[in-house]
Amino acid sequence: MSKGFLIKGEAISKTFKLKRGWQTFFIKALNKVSFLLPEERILGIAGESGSGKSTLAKILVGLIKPSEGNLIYQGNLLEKGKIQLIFQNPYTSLNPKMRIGRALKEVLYYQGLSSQKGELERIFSLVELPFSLIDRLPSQLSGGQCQRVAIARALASCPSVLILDEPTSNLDVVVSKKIIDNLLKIKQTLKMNYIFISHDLGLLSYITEDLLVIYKGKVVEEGSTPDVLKKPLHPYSQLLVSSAKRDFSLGLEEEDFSDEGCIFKNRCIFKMNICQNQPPLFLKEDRKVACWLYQN
Amino acid sequence: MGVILEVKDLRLGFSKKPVLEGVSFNINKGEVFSLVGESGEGKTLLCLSFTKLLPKDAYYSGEVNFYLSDKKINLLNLSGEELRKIRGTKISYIFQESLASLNPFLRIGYQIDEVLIYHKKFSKKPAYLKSLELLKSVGFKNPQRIYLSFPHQISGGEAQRVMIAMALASEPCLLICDEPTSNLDLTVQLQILKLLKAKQEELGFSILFVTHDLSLVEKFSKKLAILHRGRIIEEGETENIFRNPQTEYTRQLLNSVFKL
Repeated sequence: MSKGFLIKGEAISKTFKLKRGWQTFFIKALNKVSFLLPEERILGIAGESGSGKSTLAKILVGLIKPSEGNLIYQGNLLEKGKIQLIFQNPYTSLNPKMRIGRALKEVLYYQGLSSQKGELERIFSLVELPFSLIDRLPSQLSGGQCQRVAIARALASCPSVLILDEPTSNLDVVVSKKIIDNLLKIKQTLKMNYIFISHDLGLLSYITEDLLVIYKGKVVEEGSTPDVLKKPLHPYSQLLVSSAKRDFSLGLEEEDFSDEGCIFKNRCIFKMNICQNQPPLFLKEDRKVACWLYQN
Repeated sequence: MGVILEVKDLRLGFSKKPVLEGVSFNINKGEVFSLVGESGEGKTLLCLSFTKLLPKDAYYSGEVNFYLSDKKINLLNLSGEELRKIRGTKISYIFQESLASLNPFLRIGYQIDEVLIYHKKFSKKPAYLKSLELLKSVGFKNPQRIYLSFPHQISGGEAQRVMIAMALASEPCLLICDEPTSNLDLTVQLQILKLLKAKQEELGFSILFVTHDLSLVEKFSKKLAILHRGRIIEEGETENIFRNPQTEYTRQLLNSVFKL
């Protein structure tokens, strides 16, 4: 941790306004999330759907502005194309009418880089795609190939941070394993930083070094990945870990929409009276955990 | 324990591209049978071929025998009228995209009622009560809310539970689950599988579980077949295959599971 940080988020909140007829709702997608991306580490963000993972990813690349809070980037990160985001569904992130060679050349052109054949070949070999695919349309590629093209497009601008928002959840297990291995190799050759967003803790344990567990827009646990997975402290992390282990003893749950007190209290098995109040982040064994169980 | 479904040398494909090249397996009564393969291997086509839901330009040959009270029926030879008596009543489906299999214009309750009225000859009021009961049995504490919702108002996991309730409405002998959980979160996936398993044990129907994720199969089903390049390359007890995979491809599949 002695090295510097690349991105630092301080109490980031994001509220969406939703209009349904004459009624207006406010949805708190993120609620005071703080985090740190150290240099040369892979940060994992875990949580189920609707927990605000993708909102955080979009805030990090500046696609949406946070309602509150500060983002601090290390100097050169603010240059064009230094942070790249890869989405879950590769088909929607590529232009269906543009051949993939042109899609790549376009990135190189706008970055002011050379778009010679040699450069394209280098990028293709980086993501282990055969160069013969260059004249295909996205609809003529398989899901795995498409995701590789999306990664190639992100790599073309030589980014220093790559944010991957569930990059493999639409793909088969065999293909996703190949892509993950490919990403790890790219990280070593290009010295990049990844932020990896997923709901699959098995995948996160394979690739990440630090882990942030998010539930309903709040950080519930934070620490190094092996520690968190070996002994999860927060009840929600425990639930995630047991589901990653394919533990069939979990109960059925209804969704709850209450906002008061601890966000997890309606699903928690250790529910106490004090849970009516919101727990702060407690420090325990080099980790941060938002649960009253670890009060002292 | 008799056989309920027997697939014998099933071949199907399109004029330019063969998909299945001779697939055979048996499913016993009251058994969970898993079929694992990558996307593009023809798992979905295989499921659809049982009740002839195939695209028009597909060809098929072979036998799919369905045993209904000891009477052997070759599903591939049936006419439309006869098939309609089996499809949805004796053989039910749960597909991957549950929200896409529900009609977005109709309330969920109406769609479950429809199954009961059409297949089980219920009248309206009993169908309503039975639907609420079914929704309750798949774990909704407030079935009234789901009954009155439109499909876009519920989450993916809830929609999948509705699909299970709908499939169970006609009391099928065989439930075909075509990747029922692959669009869902891990926590929800397990809930759905647990629910399916509990219902299967309670009602005693057979399940054909089709998936690409081997890690889900391990605790869910006792028997397993692996489909690769149009053929079944390995079949047997799940435990044995996990402990001692025979083919290179199975080993590769097992290695791609991210374990904790």
